[in-house]
Amino acid sequence: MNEKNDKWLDDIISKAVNNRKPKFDAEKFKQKFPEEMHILKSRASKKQRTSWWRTILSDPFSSIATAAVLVLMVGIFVYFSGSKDNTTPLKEPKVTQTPAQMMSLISINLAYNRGGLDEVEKQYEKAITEIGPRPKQITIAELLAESNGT
Amino acid sequence: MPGREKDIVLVKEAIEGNVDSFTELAARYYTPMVAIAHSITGDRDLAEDAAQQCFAKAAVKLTQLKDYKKFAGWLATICRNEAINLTRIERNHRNNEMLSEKSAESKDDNSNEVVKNAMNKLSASSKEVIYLRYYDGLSYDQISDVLGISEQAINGRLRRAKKKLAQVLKCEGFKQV
Repeated sequence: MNEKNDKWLDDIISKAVNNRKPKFDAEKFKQKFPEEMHILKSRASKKQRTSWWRTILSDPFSSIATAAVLVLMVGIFVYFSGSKDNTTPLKEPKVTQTPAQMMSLISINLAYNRGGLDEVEKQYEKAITEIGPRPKQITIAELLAESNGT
Repeated sequence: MPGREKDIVLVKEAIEGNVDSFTELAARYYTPMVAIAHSITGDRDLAEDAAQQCFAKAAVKLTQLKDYKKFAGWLATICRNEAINLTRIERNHRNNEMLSEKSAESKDDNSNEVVKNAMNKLSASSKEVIYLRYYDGLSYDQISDVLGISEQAINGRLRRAKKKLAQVLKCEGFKQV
């Protein structure tokens, strides 16, 4: 199709398609669709509630930034809540008070159950402290020989 | 302010309940919407009705629009649906007679009628691009906004449509071909 034909075609199409330019009459439109206009106006009161979400979601960069901040916040929360010792502090075990009670079979058993031989050792040390000073060369085993029945 | 940025501002304001911004948007897109509707209905008055219905529907559904940049394309989709609905209703109302046969504007000039009949033989998308281009001389940029395709694609589609139209007119023995 050459340019001359194109011009001729343009003219007849323009004539066939466009008899008069359409013009939008805003006032007539508002009168014709009052309900729709009311719905549109009613959104003004909801503006504050939705605008900040729309602002974030409309821009991809702000969406990514918001997501990153959220992930960071969750990470920090998990990190700190994980490092915190959530278990309730162990109550001071009810330990017998007198050296004789400390060295009873039940008391030693309880100490062993609490923390094994270390705990038993601690209990011996505590009992010895309660009993008072002793010569350095005497071992705990020797001291408690009588108690052990050996 | 360039067209698209201005559109985005107006859409934001309209969503927030500003009626004036909405009517400004409607005024900006009235011609393209009438052109699209006209390409479907074949009737100018019906096309204007469809365009107005389209804006009324858009006023209600505006909050559903996710990407403000695509307002024109979104509006065009509503307009096509409205035009199809109105055409169907009107056809039923006229006992399935062709709208173009009853239309007053189609009887004003014999050559116009021949051209319009030839245009009815084009595909819907070709007809749409012709109406958009020749309604008030819309620019390729404006048509690109409405149809959501590139200016090159519009140029190609328009060229093919005109070529086909010329062939149809020639086949029908149009004198000036």
